[in-house]
Amino acid sequence: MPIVLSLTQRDDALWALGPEGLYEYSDGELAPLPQPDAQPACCLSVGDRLLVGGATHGVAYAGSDGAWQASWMDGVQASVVCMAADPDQAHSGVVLAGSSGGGILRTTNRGRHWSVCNFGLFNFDVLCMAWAPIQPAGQWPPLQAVFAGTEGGVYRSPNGGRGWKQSAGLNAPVISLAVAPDFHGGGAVLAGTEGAGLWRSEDGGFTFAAVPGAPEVVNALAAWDGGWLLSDAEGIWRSDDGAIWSRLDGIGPAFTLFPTPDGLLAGGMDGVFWVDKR
Amino acid sequence: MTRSHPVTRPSVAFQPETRNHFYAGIIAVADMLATTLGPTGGPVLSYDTTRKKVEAIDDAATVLRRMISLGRPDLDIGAMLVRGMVWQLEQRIGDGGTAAVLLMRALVEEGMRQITAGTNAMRLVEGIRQGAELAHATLREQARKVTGERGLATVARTVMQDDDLAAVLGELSYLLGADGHLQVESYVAPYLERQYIGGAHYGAKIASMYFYSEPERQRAVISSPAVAVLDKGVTEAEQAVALLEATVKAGRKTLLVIAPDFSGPGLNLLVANHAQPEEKRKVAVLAVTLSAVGDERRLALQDLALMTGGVILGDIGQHQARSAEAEDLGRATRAEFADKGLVLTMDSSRRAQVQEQIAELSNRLAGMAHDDEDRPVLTRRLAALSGGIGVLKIGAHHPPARELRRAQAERAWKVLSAVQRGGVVAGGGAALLHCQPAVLDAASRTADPDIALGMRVLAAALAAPQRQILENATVSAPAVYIERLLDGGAGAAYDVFAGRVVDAYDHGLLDAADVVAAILRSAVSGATMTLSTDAIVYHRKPQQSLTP
Repeated sequence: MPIVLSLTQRDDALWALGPEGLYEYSDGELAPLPQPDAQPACCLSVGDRLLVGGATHGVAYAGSDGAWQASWMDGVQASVVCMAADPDQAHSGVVLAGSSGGGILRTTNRGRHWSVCNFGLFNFDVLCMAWAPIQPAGQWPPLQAVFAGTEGGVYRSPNGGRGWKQSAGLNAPVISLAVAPDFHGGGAVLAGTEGAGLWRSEDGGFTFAAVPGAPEVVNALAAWDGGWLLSDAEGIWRSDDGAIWSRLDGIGPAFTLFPTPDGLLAGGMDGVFWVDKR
Repeated sequence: MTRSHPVTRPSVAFQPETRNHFYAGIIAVADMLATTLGPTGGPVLSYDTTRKKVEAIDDAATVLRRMISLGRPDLDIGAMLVRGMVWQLEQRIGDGGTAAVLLMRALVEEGMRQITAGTNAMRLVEGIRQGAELAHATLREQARKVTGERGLATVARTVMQDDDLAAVLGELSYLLGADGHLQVESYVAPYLERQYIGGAHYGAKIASMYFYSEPERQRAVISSPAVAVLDKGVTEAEQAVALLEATVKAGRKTLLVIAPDFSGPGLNLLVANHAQPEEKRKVAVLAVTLSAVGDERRLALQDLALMTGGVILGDIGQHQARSAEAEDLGRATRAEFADKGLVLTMDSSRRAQVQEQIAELSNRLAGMAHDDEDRPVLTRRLAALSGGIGVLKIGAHHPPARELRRAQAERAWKVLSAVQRGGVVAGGGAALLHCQPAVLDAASRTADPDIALGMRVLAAALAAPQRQILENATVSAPAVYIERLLDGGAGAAYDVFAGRVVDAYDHGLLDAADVVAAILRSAVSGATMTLSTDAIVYHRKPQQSLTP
């Protein structure tokens, strides 16, 4: 089974992507698909489009006809390594892409044209991104919070990626991020690092503090089923509150954790597998 | 209290007329402005006789700007003192004019009463000053830091009654920081728009249209360029060859050249090199000329050299462009030319050196007079070095509404900068009131009775802005609420709309601590000058200032 780094879903269709290519996941099997890039790094489904970020083309997108087209990348030649869609992308069309060396790009037309949005960013090696849920109606001032994990820590944007400010407390490379579903009601933000452990923010992402006792390497993070999941190099861990973690027996490590309506899908060294609720 | 009588000019007024003259002018202005204080205060109507137009104004600085004389020299002396004080406050921090005038009126009123009763004026003034120092320290103790966009937007909302504008300003202030550069523009559309221009932004002209990488958009972008900063023009082929060779030696594939002008064989060679097919071309070039001239350009070149880690080639530096080496060139992450501007994204490895320069320029800015002509240049330099500027485009359905919104935005921006530096305190005059116990306590421990009396005069006056807000809200017993506020401690404030005492931080009734401190300082300065002046000389043709 191929290595899987990224997962995405549209209705009943699921796609998995790894260094060996793009696949459609169905009935536990991975079927290879025509791929737009020799070294794809991430995939994302937005509306009727499938976006793939990689080393040579920045981002490529395929519509319902399946034909791949290269996006306009605003002169950025750096490899796109992660993408995250605005939870309200059906209306806004906004998606963010993080690149290795070129900072963050933002599209408002679901991936056709990207513009550099590096205001306030001082580290251009972006490794992961995560959006906060849509703000409940009636709250003031309006907030479209989104987080970017970089080689130099976490950056927070209050306005959907137009401008960024570094969060305090965490200066290690951040490779995974997750935001609580009740973020606007005081929910936490978790940041996973490669060797510096797990970090947690309880003030909306302004400051992070280390979580004692959590694994040192946090490759993947997800808020799921009223709690949290993380994956280190050995396996998957679960926590109800983000503070106390326990290992799930018999489950191998993952590079990506993807909550779906049917359960949590994980991608790792041996392809794709489901994580049960327990 | 003795009211002032008209004076003839020229003449000299002595005590007690001096104080009466000051007092009459201060009263005339303060009575007019008092009605505008707080959320229930109404505007002042100003009739423009030239344009035959009535204008509704709700801030003290604009009201007083419309007024250059009260028509009587004896009234003008106090009124113009107030006008100058309010305008300085407006320039410095953008808010607090009316509160300062009311505090000053209360100090002068009570101070005059005590002096008339036989207190030594100079000792009384000294007591007021000592009390003010103490109140100032108490204000600093009350202040709480505000960091997020929500807190900043909440403070902006206290300066204006415009939720949309306050929210956008809170976000801009959070992202730009205390010394951030905000460009406020009028917008034709009836809504607000904001834009963040990341990187160092300089007005510039492209040397040739052949350098556009996207000619249809009139835009050029190069990634990871070597950067050549020149203080002399590129005119000779040798200069261009040396720069291109140095770029190749530096291991770069793109070159940004910034020079005062490009012409002749130097420009031709750069264009010919750039116009080669992409597969053959070793170095892609972007050549630009900065729009700034004179000292501003010299300083911009120095900043660019610092940001990129290169040297200035030409007369200022040690090397000429024709002998440029790889180590003379700087480097950047990205350079973009569009809309008559160059945006340079700095390499993160240069951040530490640039931070030192930012700290030095910020210190210089803090010590600079607010009307200093070098101030805008310094602000632009700081914006470029610190990574970008914000642009706020203000629209409204009618031009007057747009201009009012724009003025409010500019005022609130100054307040938000003050909030980021000094934090916030309970709003609506409550913070000054909460300094009262500390000043009274110090007065009770002071041996000199006149100095102790000065402190008590100040303590009593500290309640004046809060009392006026209660009166404007038609509260039937202001004294009762003032007692409740004092009982509530430093976080208590009066919510005019709810009609009760609340926690200021929970309810967002906040003022910038720096603004309140400046109000206190200005009012005490004006009042002590009024109380300690012994003679006024009225000239036949007094010099009139139209500024502001």
